Amino acid sequence: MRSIQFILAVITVAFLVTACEKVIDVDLKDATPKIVIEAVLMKGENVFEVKISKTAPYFDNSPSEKIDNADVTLTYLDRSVTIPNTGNGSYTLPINAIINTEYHLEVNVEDEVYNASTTMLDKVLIDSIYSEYEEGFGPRESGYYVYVKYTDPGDIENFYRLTHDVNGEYQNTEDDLRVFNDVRNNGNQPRVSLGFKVFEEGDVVDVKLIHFDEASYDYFSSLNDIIGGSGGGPSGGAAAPGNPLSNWSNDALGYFSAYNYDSASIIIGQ
Amino acid sequence: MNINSFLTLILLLISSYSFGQTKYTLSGQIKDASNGEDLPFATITVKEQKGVGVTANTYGYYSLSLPAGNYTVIYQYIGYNVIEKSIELNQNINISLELSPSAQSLEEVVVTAEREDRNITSNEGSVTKIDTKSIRELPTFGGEVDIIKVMQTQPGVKSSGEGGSGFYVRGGGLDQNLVLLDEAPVYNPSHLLGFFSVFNGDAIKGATMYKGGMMPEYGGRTSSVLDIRMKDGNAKEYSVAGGIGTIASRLTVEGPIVKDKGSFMISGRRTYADIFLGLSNDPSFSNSNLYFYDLNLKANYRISEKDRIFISGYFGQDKLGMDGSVNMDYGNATGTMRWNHVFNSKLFSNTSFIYSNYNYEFGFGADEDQISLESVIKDINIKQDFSYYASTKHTIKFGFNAIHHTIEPGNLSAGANTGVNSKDSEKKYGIEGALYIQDEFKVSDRFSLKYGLRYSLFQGIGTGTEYEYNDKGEVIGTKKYDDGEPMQYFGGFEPRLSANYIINTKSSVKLGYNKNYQYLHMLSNSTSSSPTDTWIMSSNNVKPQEAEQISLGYFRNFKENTFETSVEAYYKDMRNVIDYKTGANVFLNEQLEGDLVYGKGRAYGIEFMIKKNKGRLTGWLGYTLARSEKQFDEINNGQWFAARQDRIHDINLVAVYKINPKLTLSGNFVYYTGDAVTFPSGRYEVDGKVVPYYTERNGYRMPDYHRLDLALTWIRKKTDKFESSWNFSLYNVYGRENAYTISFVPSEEDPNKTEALQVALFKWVPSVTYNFKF
Repeated sequence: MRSIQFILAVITVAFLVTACEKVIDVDLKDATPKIVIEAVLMKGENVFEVKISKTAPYFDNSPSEKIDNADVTLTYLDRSVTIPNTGNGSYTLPINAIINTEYHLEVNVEDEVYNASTTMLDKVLIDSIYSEYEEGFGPRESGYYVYVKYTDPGDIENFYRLTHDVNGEYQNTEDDLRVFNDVRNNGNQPRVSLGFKVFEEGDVVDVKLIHFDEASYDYFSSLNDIIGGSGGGPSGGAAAPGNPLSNWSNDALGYFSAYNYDSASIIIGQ
Repeated sequence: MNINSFLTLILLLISSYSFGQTKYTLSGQIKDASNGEDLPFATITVKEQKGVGVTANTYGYYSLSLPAGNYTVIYQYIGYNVIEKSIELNQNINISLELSPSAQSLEEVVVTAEREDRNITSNEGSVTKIDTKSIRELPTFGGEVDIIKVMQTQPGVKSSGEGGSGFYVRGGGLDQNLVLLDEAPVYNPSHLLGFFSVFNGDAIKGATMYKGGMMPEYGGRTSSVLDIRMKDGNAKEYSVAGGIGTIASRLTVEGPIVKDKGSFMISGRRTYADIFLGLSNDPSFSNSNLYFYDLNLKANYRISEKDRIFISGYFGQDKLGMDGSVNMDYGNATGTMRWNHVFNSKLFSNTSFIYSNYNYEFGFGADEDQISLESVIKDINIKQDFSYYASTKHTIKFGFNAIHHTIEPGNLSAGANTGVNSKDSEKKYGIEGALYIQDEFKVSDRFSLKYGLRYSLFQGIGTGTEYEYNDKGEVIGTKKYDDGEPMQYFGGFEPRLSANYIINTKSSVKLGYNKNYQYLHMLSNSTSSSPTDTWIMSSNNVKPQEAEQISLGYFRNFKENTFETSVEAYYKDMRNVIDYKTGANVFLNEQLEGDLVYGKGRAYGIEFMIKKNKGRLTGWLGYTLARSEKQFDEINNGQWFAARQDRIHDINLVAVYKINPKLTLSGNFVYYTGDAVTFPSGRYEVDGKVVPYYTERNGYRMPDYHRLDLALTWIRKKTDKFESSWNFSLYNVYGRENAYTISFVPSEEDPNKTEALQVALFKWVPSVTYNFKF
């Protein structure tokens, strides 16, 4: 889908148009603040962090209100642990997360209870990583493109996210958000790219192939649609703009996801 | 009204023919003397019998039954010399004749077709007819005369957005318009992502838009019918016409096959931006494709006095992209074969075989890295229409139509390197059928009625799979159908009514009612037309869309038909309207129906129009005050909300001023309330990104849209042998930056801040076109 939008953008922008962009004033309503809970559980012994905040008016550029008075409980196997507040809306505790386990998180804020569950999956291995020099087209630049190959397990539906660091720096713009499933390549050895991102010779690129559950995929895939083309344009990413599909109950925003991943590195041009 | 009483009423009215006196029939064909083209809708009246008259059909055929006697018959068509013929009617007579265009003096500029007072006399509320001839001098976008862009300046018809050739009619959706080219449906009537329509002005004779009260011969879409007819071709002599414009060139050749027996027309158009790109040294430009072309062909031949054959075809493609990297090709192909047969002077028949195909192909990468996707919609269609000119009071039309639809939602093929499986999405098959009957009843010389009934049906056919979904859109059941096995069946009666009461020679009141079913639905990820829009058939999940509309209009002409004015009000009730769940993915999704929601819609409004037809200054001013709303249990807590096309105020001004016989200045001004859109009402941070927080669908408005275009047409040379003219157009004269998109993004200077970024597409678009004819 993204690539079609890209082509449409190429054609609209590159050839037809002397498009003019400007920042305008839009009078937006201030919605009643809503709770946002973000929690990622990493495979292995890691500090598990839950972040709780509230939405802010859209053009309010001060940091959003943090919630420090919540009760946060993580339940897995037959255990139940309280994740203590460490200030600034953050709740942390070292957790040794293991595969094929369902984790349940309960958050209680001012007598409102929010629940979400996620499953830590086994990782999917990266088979190879390589880069190729390619000529550009329109806004697609000329340069080195990085590709990753992996073998998709054929017996189940799989969902992935691909992240990367360049020279030790985590890349996290909206264009870097790459999520995909195996609907069209179940059991194959697919090749995935880092979008239209180009690299220079000598860049060190570290890639993580995150394997997560369907709810996590639904969240990031719908998030991608929204941040990719928000607003009233005719080529917005989603058919209907709305909030990402969250796995939280009680209408909370955000997600609870368990990441297991395999990593690979490449130095461009070598 | 229930169906039985409706049928009884039809029978009663039909059986009320006046018996007794011996009657004879006057019939024939009316043509344009200058080129032998049919003159559809020319009017034939009888001097001695007030209120008796008939309008020629789309093929120029007419038939009129009168008691024996001597009459003076008047043949007229606006912009053409009137012919009066004295006849002695003591047997059935055939009079075929040709009307010649009146010499165009300054005072006689043709804006509308047909009779001067047809605004009052015709039993057609909510109908707009436009001749391509009459729009040649209007401002253009990119130098292309575009009949759809002119339709968008009519009250009740709104463009899909900046430069777009999609349109909304009376609050209906983009897919609710039946766009026909010589009877063949055109599924994506746009080029270059909508900036140009596929209708090459040189190949098109004219178009009729039915916004309401449509005749029962039309169906399949709930909002409107846009019936576009190609030129037949000059039956008198060979002629070549063409033009060179800013973005495209055109060439049309037409002429007789055998003089006055048959003619042909071939017209082509192609853009040439890519030719300039090819000259570029930059390989990323010289290897790129960016063009579209259209080819229109038509031929007709009179086999005998009673039989005429028409063959017409259209073929157009867009080719966009770059060799070996990305490409997007899409286009329509249509073909129509028609056979007109006159059984006797009272019974006229037309049989049409129609083919329509829309496909797109989209590819990425080359060789083993390539992924490409192809999608096709294909219709095979047979349509039979009869016109029975029963008496001076009744004309009965009846017929049937059967369409076989095939939709191939997506055939994916992928190179070995990609790791993607090549797979064809399940093809969908269905048959759409209809039977109809209509009576045009001249109750008195002041009151006329057109009423009829259409029964339409849809039968889904296997091979196919039906999915059953729960509330979350998850599949909870599947049912497979074998090859040829019947799937879902839908059907229903569609009553239609149109009435005209002539108050006096200057004014009339018109009433219209129609019910329509729609069995095919378009889903789109974007709001303007995109080549990848997906069409789906009605199924166990998707019920046919329904609309009922009632409209009432008052029409009045002033100063001997120099000014036409009208006020029309309408109310439209829509059911089984389709929208998306949040996060719906339309593209290549076999379980798409689980992402849809179904609800209701209502649209109502009032349309004002003032039109000046004669004099040096001609044109029209239209104003529409209208609402269009939707309601879904799943969206906005079940509250009614504004549809995207809910443009409350809509103003159009079109003016043409003849400075002298060689120079014409024209202008076009548009203003409308901004579209209803979804904007965020808050923000939050997740995954290190600022994310907009949405609270309601379509709760905001785009800024109001307005624009002025001007054009100057200079006739350089005009002789019998050769004509040439220049057209200079300027789109968006005062450079208004109309918002095309507004996105909410982090600021480039300070990523912690968010801002609203507006993109405007066209500030000024000048164009020059040179046209010639010999």
